[in-house]
Amino acid sequence: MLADDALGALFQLTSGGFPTGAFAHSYGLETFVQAGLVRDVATFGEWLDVHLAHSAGPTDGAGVALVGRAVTAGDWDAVLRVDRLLTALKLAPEVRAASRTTGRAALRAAREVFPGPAVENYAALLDDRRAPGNAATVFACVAADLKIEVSVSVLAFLWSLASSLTAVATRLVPLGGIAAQRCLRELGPAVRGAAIRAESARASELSASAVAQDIAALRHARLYSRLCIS
Amino acid sequence: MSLPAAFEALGPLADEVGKAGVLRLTLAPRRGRTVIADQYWRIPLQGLPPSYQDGDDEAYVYLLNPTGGVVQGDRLQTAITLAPGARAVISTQSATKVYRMDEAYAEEVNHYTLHGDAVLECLPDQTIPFAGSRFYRSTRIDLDPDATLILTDVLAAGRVARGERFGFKQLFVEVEVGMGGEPCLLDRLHLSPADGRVDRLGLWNAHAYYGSIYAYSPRLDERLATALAELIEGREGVYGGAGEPAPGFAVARVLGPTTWAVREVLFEAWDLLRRNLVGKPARPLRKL
Repeated sequence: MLADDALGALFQLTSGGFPTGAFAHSYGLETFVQAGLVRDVATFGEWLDVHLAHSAGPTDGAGVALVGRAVTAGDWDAVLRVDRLLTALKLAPEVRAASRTTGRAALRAAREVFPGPAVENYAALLDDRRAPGNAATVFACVAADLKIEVSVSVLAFLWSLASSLTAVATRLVPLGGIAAQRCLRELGPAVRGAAIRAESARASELSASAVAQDIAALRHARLYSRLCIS
Repeated sequence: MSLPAAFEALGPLADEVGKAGVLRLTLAPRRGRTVIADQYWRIPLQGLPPSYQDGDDEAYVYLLNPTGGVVQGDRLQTAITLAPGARAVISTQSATKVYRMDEAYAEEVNHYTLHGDAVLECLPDQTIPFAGSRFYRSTRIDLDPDATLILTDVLAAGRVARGERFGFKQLFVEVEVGMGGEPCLLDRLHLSPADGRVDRLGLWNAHAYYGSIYAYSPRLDERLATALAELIEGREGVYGGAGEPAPGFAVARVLGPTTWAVREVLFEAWDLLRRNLVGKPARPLRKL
């Protein structure tokens, strides 16, 4: 069990109130909604299950684990290598940009709210333009400073993402608030499964295989009208 | 090269003659044409003399696997270097068929290096992973900032006409484009149907063919990237998207129900890119 202070910090860091701007990003979900492919709780649940297992889990989820271990070991070359791989894996320009803007926003807040040596070190690398500033990397640095174990931080990161996407879907589709939350609750095993796989992923296993979702993220840039930035 | 655990667990592949194929080529401009300045090959890979199908300096080079397919234990390593001024179209003689395997896996590792203002248009035929196959393919391209790359790839979900869809056991396909030792673009697909259904919405959306294009050029600007996106995304009958992840880079992905639907849109995309980046239209590749 986490120390009370770390647990509280984790709740604060992953709550929708923490100012990362994540609420504005759908990662291509909006494209599927406009195409009628996600139109109710069942189809949203399917989208999120695939996103966790084949996109967010093996990319950012695994990134949180790899960066977290590298920070604890003091291996900042490895931190930068993973950070750059995360950027390289994000092929849709909006997704690449979303990670950078939410990452920078999280870092700005973390420097004041959860200051620590890893956060400061990463901020310096970002200022020097040596680090790309991905959201998963920032999250891992904050978690490392708070002495949160890697398995917990990966799980927290993916829950936070699942929760944020559920809120976005509730607004976009739209979905009934309670029905959407029941859907998220039922996806608990999916979040945990993605976290367990992400935790033990090697850098050579970072991957993004949800091709149609990525195509939707690419097409999002040309949607006629949109509520989300990505 | 570090492998995903799923492949490492299947045991190291032996360096046997007839199973470990190697092809190394250096392409360089000599007296107004791109020629093979140096080559080494070991079956099952083999190089063929180049042809000049545009009637200019650009060499058309076909990579040949005379055994006709990829089987258990095959390790195929191809390394092609283009010197400054070299221009080449590289393709295959036929589709890459990856057969069912009871043990181990098959591996294909490609490494292309472009120096100076070299131009590489790499347009292999599709890859068909048969039911029961385990295939690892890595394609890494290292570019100098003045180089031009157009790379296409088509994957089939299996021998679709026989009702095979996602019957393979493991499929890992990666394309990594880097500059100055840093990865700029990394596309990694890793599907293990045993871990869970992959014929789902969000993965291939009930389509059976997946095509992709990766392009880089100092002349690839926002205007061209937008034209590419309009072409890819406006096409009926396929589900495609395109974008510019970094300055000078373009990526396009297309899912389609038939091989010709995907190949047709990829051909038109190649044509658009080729006209703007290489100065000539695309042409159907004449196999030898």
